[in-house]
Amino acid sequence: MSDVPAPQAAVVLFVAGGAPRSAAALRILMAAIAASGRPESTFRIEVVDVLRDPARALEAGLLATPSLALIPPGGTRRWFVGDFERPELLAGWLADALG
Amino acid sequence: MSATPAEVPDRLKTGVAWFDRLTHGGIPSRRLTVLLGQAGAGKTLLSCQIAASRAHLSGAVTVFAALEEPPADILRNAAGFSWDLQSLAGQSFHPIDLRPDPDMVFAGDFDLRGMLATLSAKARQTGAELVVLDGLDTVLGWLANPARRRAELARLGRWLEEEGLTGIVTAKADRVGAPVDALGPLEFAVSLVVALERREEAGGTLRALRITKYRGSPHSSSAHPLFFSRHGLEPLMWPGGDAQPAPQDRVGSGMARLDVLLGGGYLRGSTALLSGPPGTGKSTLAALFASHVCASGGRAVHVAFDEGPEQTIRNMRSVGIDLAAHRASGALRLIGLQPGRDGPEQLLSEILAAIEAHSATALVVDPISSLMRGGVADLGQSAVRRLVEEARARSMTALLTSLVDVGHDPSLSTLSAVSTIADAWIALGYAERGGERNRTLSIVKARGSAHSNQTREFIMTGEGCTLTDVYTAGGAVLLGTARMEREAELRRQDIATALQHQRRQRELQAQLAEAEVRQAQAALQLEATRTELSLLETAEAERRAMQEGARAQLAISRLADTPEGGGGA
Repeated sequence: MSDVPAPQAAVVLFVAGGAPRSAAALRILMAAIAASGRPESTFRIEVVDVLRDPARALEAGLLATPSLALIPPGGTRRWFVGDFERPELLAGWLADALG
Repeated sequence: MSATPAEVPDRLKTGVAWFDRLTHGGIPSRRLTVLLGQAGAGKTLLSCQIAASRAHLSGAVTVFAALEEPPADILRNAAGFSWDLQSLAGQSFHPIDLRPDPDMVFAGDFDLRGMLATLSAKARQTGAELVVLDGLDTVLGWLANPARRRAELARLGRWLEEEGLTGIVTAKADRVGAPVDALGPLEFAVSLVVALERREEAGGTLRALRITKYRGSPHSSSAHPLFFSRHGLEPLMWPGGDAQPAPQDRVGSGMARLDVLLGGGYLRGSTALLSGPPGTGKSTLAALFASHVCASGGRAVHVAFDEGPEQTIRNMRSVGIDLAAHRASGALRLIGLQPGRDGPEQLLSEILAAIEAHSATALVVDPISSLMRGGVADLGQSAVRRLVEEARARSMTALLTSLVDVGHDPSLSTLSAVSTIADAWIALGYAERGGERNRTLSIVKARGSAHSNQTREFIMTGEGCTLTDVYTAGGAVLLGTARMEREAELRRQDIATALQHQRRQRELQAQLAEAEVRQAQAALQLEATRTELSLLETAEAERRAMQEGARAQLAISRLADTPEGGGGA
């Protein structure tokens, strides 16, 4: 399977303002993706500040910030809620969500 | 005035009339209102009711965040109520499915800004002024730390102010009156707290509403019993009493002579109680009224508890009342209800729905005691009170019948309960006279009427019903109607007194009869003695005359010298 060029999985990080925290969250996310052993090109990563772009929150039916939405190709969206103060949890979840 | 004007929040009239009355004007505008209660207490429904009423009142738009139940279920549960939430959906009622995904993973800290951003977007998109967060406890419950929950509730409060939105949160309470763990202490950030209670008790479900907090506003914290009508949740007792001016015109009773007794008929919008033992004509008098209302252009709802509509029609035809014709013309709505099958609040709801659907100007409930049967303790009485209030508010004249069973406490308590609520009380009964049982009618009370307090005889025939003149003996009314006006606790005693008077009346009648017989006998004796005396006198006179005659005859026959004759010898 892995030798077939995989379509991208969408990873959307929803944050509410607070640049330093958002930057930290993004850093932890990138590290977790790297740890997943999949090439970065497998992912289409996006950061949404809901204070600037609440329409995106509505579109996603967002409940909490920060939240990470992961939509594997052809799969259903899964949510990871909370700041990434324990990156190993995020990494485990990513691996699980990607199947 | 304990609160300074600055503390009194602006009110947003909800359009749910009783709720606005109870809260002295509605929910706090651009502030947070919390509806608390156990599962099934009606929190979600009340929030829908407020949203829909607000929409009907002013076209206001509501965003409804469904955090616990899917929007489809919420719309389905609200179907069948008069405010028709389904037709508002997508127009002025916008549900969003925000139920958390069950596979959602939580790790670390988070806040509700994501949800508030979602709601901001939806509110702007729809032009909403009201936001309902249904089941917020589920989301707040994710935060393990109570201080964090408080902070998020405060965030919600601030967000409402910033966005110019008014918020309603529903949340589960573990038990009645318990602090809600998921929301933390509600003193914080919340302006109005309404607790909804639902208790299962012997005989039924007791629902009640209590305002446990209203910042900057005087409020009563007493529990208001609720029931479901076709308008959703409603209080059994209308808060704040009636504001309706009392009408002064009269509605005919169907019997001209009774109208005279009542000072022109029943007062429009008043409630009259017809009480009496079985077979005294309560149902007849009630049907007569319904029939008269229909014949004079009114519209009546007639609720019969002990029999079906067809049986009622048959029974009344035998005393010359044609209910079938009025039903056929559409003026009369005859309903047969099963007492005891449903609780008082359910029966009340059905009667209210019929009154409204029929635009009734008059109501008959025969007997009202069936509405009070079963159910939780005081619910029956509250249901009757509610019915009377509804009648008043609609200027609808109501006639309620009640069975009296002397010496039987439950029905007596029914009677005393209803008689204090009713504006007029007509007591039907029996009087025994000369070996006959006759129906009697007397007016015990009639508020706002100069009424006769005398007992009349009530006559029912196949041609109709009428009253005959005052039942008196020796110039005094013997049934103690005046005494029956005493307070409810004395009523039992009154009945005993009435019975005693009936007994005394019979005794006096017997004595009178006896005296009359004696008098007749004495008169005969007198006449006989007189006759005898005169006979005696006649006989004596004759005897004397005969004696005189005989003596003279003798003297002649003897030719004797009579001493009187003198000389000769």
